[in-house]
Amino acid sequence: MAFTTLVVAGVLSPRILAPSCSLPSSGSVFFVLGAGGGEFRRHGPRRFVTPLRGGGCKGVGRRQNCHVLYCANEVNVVTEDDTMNDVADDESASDAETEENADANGDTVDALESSDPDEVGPVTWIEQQPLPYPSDALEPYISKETVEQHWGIHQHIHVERLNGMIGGSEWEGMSLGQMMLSSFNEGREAPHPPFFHAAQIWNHDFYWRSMQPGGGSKPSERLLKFIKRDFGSYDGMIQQFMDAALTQFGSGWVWLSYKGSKLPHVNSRSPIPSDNYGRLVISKTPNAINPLVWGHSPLLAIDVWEHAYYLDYEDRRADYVSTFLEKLLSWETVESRLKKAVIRAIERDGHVSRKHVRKQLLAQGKSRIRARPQQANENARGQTSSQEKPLGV
Amino acid sequence: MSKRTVELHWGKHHQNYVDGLNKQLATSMFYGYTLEELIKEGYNNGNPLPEYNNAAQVWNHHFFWESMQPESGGSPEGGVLQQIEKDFGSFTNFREEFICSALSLLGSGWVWLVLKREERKLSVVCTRNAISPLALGDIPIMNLDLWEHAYYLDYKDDRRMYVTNFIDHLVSWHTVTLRMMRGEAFVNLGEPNIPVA
Repeated sequence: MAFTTLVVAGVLSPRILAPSCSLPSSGSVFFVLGAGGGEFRRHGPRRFVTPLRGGGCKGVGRRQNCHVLYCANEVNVVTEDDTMNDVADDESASDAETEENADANGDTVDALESSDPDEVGPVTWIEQQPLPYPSDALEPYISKETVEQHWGIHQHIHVERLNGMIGGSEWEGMSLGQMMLSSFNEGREAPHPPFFHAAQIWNHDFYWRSMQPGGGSKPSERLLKFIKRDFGSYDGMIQQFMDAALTQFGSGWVWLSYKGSKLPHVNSRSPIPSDNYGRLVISKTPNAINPLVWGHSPLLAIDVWEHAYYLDYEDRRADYVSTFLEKLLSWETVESRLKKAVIRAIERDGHVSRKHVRKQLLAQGKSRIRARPQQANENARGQTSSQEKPLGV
Repeated sequence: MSKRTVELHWGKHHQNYVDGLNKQLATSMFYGYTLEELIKEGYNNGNPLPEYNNAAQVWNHHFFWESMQPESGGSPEGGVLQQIEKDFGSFTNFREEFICSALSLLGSGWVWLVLKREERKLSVVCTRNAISPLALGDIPIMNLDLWEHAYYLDYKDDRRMYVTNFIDHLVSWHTVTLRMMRGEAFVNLGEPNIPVA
């Protein structure tokens, strides 16, 4: 099929084997069954092969669509990778936990609109991840009561609502990350109903893991170098965090994320200027949005919904955020996420960026005598390895 | 609604909006506008200017405090009840719709009972963050703050209890009646009175 040959012609990276995407002109993205991708196993019935329109998509359009798949995969990596063992081992435990919570909070759960009373013995497609530390571990900065309320009840409500919502729909059986990205609806229109709950569950899991008891302190040297390069100084970064957190009107989140590349991997854009690829960026998002849908790789999340800090700090959001940054933040987690994010970005782009090549060369050059001019090599390397050059590198 | 909530809500949140707005107005082109003008102009047809949020929140909160009264609630009487029954079927329907609307709001916002100009009837709307029906062209009659700061200390995540208590015990139907009366000056709710020649 002409379609396939166009694809295989080398515009895309070898990871995609049998794509059949279409342009999102109707406002929705069709996911693909990758022949080799184990992550696609749990796709629901939402598979479409649509005929080409008007002579086929250009190469650029095709790339844009198919890279959404990468994001979905990456989301799995992000959520499940560092807690892969936890999820596998604790699935029974977390099942028990969610059941426990449901029982313990019998009154509150019933008082709220419970999702589907007909489904007794609820099927839990999605569960929230267990807390990586006991609920009073973040005292005195975040009280035990807040943690139990926030994780146990508030996040649990999202889990319940989501499970009630997706039964029998196209999202049934998807993993949390995939569900979140696929229901986002590319930001052009309102997201599909499960997005809010799925994203909030994901965001909260991410948030809990961004913290640790006895956290705070300074990041490692390597991370500090990134910070200095992208924000000027550690204090500059803190300042930007505070600004973002205090100007987020209404409910939302503040994120530190790694903006991988300039290439449009997803169709929704972030509102921050797009020439700072390959950098750390701080962004604020309303309600449940998270930077994954813009193609960034989040490194840490601060929940600035009022429920996150109201019991402990009442309306003093500034105190909450600065305490978070100084005393609770887990820089080790941030660093490990950054490592993965960089690797992911390189893989995703399908080629080695010039910067990376330069770094490699420099590293090689350091160990050898620099006899040849660096410039010529670097350009030559850049030309051959970046096949997507015309696409705006 | 506990004392601490009211102290914080009115004393800190509402006050902060006022202070913020004053600071903004000192250097903005909207200096000298009234609150309602600020809201209508600042909304800018969906692309709110920076002064909008503060101005709208000041107005919304003021409206909110006035929509409540200690130990009130229950159901309205007279004209308001008639109008509610006409537009919602029954008071119970209205109450249910109000509560459902409030619970369906995701994130921060407000839920309103408005008098719609075009449709010339009462209806329940919910708006996000600081959007106000004034900016959308309707006449607000009563509102409820669904930002988490309004109920988190008292009800934590139990929004349903908060809304139910508001409707059953706090909403001031006297104020609602007053506002309806004023609204009727702008919207003709009855049949037009066509004089017979």
